[in-house]
Amino acid sequence: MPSVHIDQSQVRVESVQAADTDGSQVTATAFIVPVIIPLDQVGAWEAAYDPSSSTSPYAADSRVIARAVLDAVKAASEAQ
Amino acid sequence: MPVVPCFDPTTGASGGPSGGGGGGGGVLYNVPFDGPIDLTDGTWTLYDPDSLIQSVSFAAGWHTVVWNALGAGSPNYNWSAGTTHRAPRWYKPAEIDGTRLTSDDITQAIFYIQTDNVNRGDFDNGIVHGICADPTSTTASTIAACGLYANAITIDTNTALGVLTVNASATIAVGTSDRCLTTAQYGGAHCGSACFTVVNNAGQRVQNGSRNGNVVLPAAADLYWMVGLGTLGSVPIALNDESQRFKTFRTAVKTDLAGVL
Repeated sequence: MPSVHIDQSQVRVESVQAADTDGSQVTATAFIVPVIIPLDQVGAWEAAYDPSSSTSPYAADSRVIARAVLDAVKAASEAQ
Repeated sequence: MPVVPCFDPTTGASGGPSGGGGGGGGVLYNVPFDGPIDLTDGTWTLYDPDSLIQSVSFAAGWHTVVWNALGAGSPNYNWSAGTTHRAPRWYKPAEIDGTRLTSDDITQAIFYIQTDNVNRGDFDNGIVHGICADPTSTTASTIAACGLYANAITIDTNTALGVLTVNASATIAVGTSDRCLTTAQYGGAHCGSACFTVVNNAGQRVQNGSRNGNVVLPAAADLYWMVGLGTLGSVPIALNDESQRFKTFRTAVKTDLAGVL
């Protein structure tokens, strides 16, 4: 199962205006969470994801990213 | 008694370091700012493709800008969104000590703003003070602005302050924030990055942040200072509406990178 990491000291709250991956505009005051995906993990992540399938990626793979991001938000939120 | 070198550290000539300019002899502690910037002093050119600016006035360092009506809002007037930027902007050649900066020069451009949080404007608005490659373009990536960004939402009490990189921003509104120091490291054929510190009236950090740019610049392109105003979001503007009043300053440093490569 591929892995990800978080640059925890760089998790911060900012007001951001930026373009999302699909080009849509994002305007939000939000936690910014830097997700680190090692280059040697990118292939495995891409193989685990089929954008045309609504059930992709598998729940177990999704949980790796979700838990990393949510742990980061939780820790940052509690530190505030 | 101060200790003074016997030889110029750059040339090796006797008599100590040479004075002035960059190169080791200049004043680099407490570098003074240019300004307050005066958009009415005759050195700035206004590019306003949709004639939104009715007037700009300058008094005691503060700018007051009155707008013409904009019936329908558009992201084209939001400096921090989209790929088309038709918002008004003032510009002038970017120079340090009389030397024109080009896109080849990696430059630290330092901007400071103080916003008037009582007169935050009649519509949600934004202010850019930055360095750019082509201020008369309406394509965000061609303008390639990088620098300080401030925006005010009329129903909020605070001004959000931070950085703009091309067409995206990172800002923070905290307390009664009204002052921000932003440094853009721009050039080397790229729009670079910017970082900011929101400061209080004692010059102490309240918050800070940063953002990277993502635009490659053409080689040897002349650079410009730019002050741009616009809407925050796609909001209409009524005739005679004001945007937020502000005073702003700038200074810049270009190091002798070639001398150490």
